[in-house]
Amino acid sequence: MSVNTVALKQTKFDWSAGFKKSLPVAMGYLPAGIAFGVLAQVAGVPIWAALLLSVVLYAGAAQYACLPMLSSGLPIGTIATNIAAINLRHVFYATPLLQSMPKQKWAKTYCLFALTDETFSVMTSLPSDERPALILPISLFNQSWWVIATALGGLIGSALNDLVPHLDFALVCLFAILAYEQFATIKRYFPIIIAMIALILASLMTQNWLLLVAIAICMGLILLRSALIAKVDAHDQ
Amino acid sequence: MTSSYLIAATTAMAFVTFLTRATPALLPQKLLDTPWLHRLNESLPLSVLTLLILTSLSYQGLTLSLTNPNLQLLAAQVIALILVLLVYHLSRQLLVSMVVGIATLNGMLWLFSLI
Repeated sequence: MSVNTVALKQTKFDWSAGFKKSLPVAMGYLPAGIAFGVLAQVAGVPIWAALLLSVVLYAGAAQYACLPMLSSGLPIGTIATNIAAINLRHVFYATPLLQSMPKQKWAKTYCLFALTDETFSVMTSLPSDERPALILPISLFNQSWWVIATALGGLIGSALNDLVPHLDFALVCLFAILAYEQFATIKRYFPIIIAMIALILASLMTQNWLLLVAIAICMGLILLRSALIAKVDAHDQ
Repeated sequence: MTSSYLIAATTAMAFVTFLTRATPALLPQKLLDTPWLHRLNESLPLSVLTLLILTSLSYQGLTLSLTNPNLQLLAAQVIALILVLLVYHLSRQLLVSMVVGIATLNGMLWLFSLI
């Protein structure tokens, strides 16, 4: 294999731009991660275990949810099943980004591992041609913010969250801005309307797996709409 | 809650979470190139973002009373998000927009507390 062939199989990363793109996520991750660190202490989970969770699990909602399960000593199989259910929505996240994954296997594996709600949101808001150089830096910096925040949470307790109330609302603000960018890209209202319908339908069915069921309904409605459009087009021709 | 229990539980949770995130990469490429999947890829991210926003808002214990704290919180969140989008639309500054969002939420809740 020539040097050029090897070079073609490597993705070059833009660390500086990745760092800048991760800063808005940091604003959300820092308070949320600090809150996790504090809650872990309250639940009796030692700081090393809280850090281990942020390093090898790295899933905000699941990490919050596992704390009471760990402190009550639930069987590991039960905890894993619950966490799988909470994180099942992630099954849908990697698909739009597969073409943007780094060529290097280690980097691709890490990017798949680190594909959280926020990283998915930031990545899908970027133009397709910019994604390969940014997905690893953004994933790595985002997780770094989360791990640093967990450590801070364990160390400084709840003082910061007391200082600025509702600091975790930064994540919702971030989701709104990223949705705006998504809308600016595709210029269609129907994914928003479908999401509203899906949430109403899902809330009639379940409260525990709301997001998972709503995403599944969204997928069904998007595919149904596509099939109907294809059928109308075929009929017109 | 022993160290070995914590390590084993964390490993199990990490494994199932990675499995959910890596599933699309394990599927055959032929399946990933289908038109229906492309349509899904185009529209699903905006739907998921909308769901993440909607499920992050507070709906619990709502009543149609201006003094209901849960209604006040929801109203403050909605107003803050509208302002976030407006500021972002005008300035394209992510951090500024997010700071405006948190400040508006706290400001609106303070105003509501005066009612």
